[in-house]
Amino acid sequence: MRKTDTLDSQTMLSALEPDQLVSAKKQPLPRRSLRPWQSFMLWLLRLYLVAVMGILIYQVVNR
Amino acid sequence: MSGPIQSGAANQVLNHEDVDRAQDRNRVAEARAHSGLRSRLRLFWLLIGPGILVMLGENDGPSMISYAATGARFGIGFFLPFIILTFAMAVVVQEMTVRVGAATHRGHAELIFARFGPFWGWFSVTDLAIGNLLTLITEFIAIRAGLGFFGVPPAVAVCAAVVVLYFALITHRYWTWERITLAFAAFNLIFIPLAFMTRPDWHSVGNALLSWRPLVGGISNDTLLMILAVTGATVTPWMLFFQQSAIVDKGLTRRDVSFGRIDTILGALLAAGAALGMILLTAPLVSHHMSAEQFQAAEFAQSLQPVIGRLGASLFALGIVEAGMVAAITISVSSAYAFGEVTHKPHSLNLRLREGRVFYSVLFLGVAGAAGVVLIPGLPLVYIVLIVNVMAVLAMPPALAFLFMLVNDKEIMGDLVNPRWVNMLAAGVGMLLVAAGTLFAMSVVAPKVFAALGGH
Repeated sequence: MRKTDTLDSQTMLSALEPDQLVSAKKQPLPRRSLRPWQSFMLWLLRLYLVAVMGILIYQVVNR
Repeated sequence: MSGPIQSGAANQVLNHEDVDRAQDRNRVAEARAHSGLRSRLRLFWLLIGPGILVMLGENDGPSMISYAATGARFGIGFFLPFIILTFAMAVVVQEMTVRVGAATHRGHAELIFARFGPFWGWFSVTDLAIGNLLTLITEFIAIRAGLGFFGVPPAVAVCAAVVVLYFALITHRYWTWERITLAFAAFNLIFIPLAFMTRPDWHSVGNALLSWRPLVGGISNDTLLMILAVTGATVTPWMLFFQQSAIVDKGLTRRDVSFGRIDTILGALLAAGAALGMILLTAPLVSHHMSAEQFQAAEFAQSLQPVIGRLGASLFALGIVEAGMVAAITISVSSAYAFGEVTHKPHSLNLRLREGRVFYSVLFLGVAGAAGVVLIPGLPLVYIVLIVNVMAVLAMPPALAFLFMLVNDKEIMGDLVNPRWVNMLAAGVGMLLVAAGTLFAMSVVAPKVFAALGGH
């Protein structure tokens, strides 16, 4: 018999924080609203990634 | 115990994953309830894991090969202090994932989807999926290369690795998986005693660490590629996803954050020791003009044999195999966590196979796919290794931006929100990575501008 079989469900519940339970994690977190500068930064970094990856692929192809 | 348990008092359904995690947390609570050195050590033993695993996991096949190529080509002058800098950067970044995981009990991909929406979420997870698949391929390249030293044919080496990985991943228990992987990962430290076997000139080592000499020959596109590869050997997107999700799966809470920090710093120290060991180990090969391009299968181990003997060379080759194996485990787990988080399918190493079909399918399909690619004849495997590390650095700034915004999100972080000084350090890391990527891009598309900045 595994050790957990001897633990009652109440003991198990008290060992975990309420939001650690799998059932609690099914509740979605609310979405945050992005400020304009935050959206701008994310887009800028996305463009940076596309550009540098394109350049890397160019170098790989032309090596 | 099988099936869900209904708790009458709180009307909560506990499933297998909850029960296993509760058992781990009970052991933590018992250790915490006692005072004294022994109890503190036991608490430390129970709570460490994700930080050491992520750091030693990132000392993976391509990373160790990049370090080896760096040491063989440039010696110790520039790269010893540079590697310490990159691990300091890794600590700054990974410590933030400890706090986010402990505060929210949600994985990294899940939080990005929840807080920023699916548009940014899919961008982020697609970056991770592409990067992880390519990195997994390089892990099998390393495994194949290491076992090649012992004359093992590529197909046998890759198939054997897949079988070992399969058994390492189906423990159905996070705790067991973590301890097995930690035991595997400890072998990464073999590069430290091997470095001692080369009898380094400690005066030169101390001098290199203190003076941080510039690169011999200046900065070129070629050396920038090497600098990016070494940086990508320490700071990469999968590490963010892995450590945060592992913290959640392990069940760490806000009370455990200080241990999570120690775990991360200890992991960085161990991994930095192994990385520095590798540079010292291959530095004597400078006179042989070895480079990553020249590295085929077990050439490094063979070249080192006159310096460290047959036993040392064998341990070197096994170290490369171990680096590939551990990283293949941690990287495939990070992919499976992320996929489960965004598709809302069960995702935990505490799951049995039938409970986590999607989770384990992603794990094994990723491993099998990467293993299959390595067996395609004629692929420039060594070049792929170098390029994958570079890609990791280039993909890091957007990944870091999401982490930065999450760790400053008071709604989810509460009092674990980033202090200003950590924000400054994290912003510094981000700017350094963007600057390195931009310099590399300029060296390719605008070599004249790059030369005007001091490169050639």
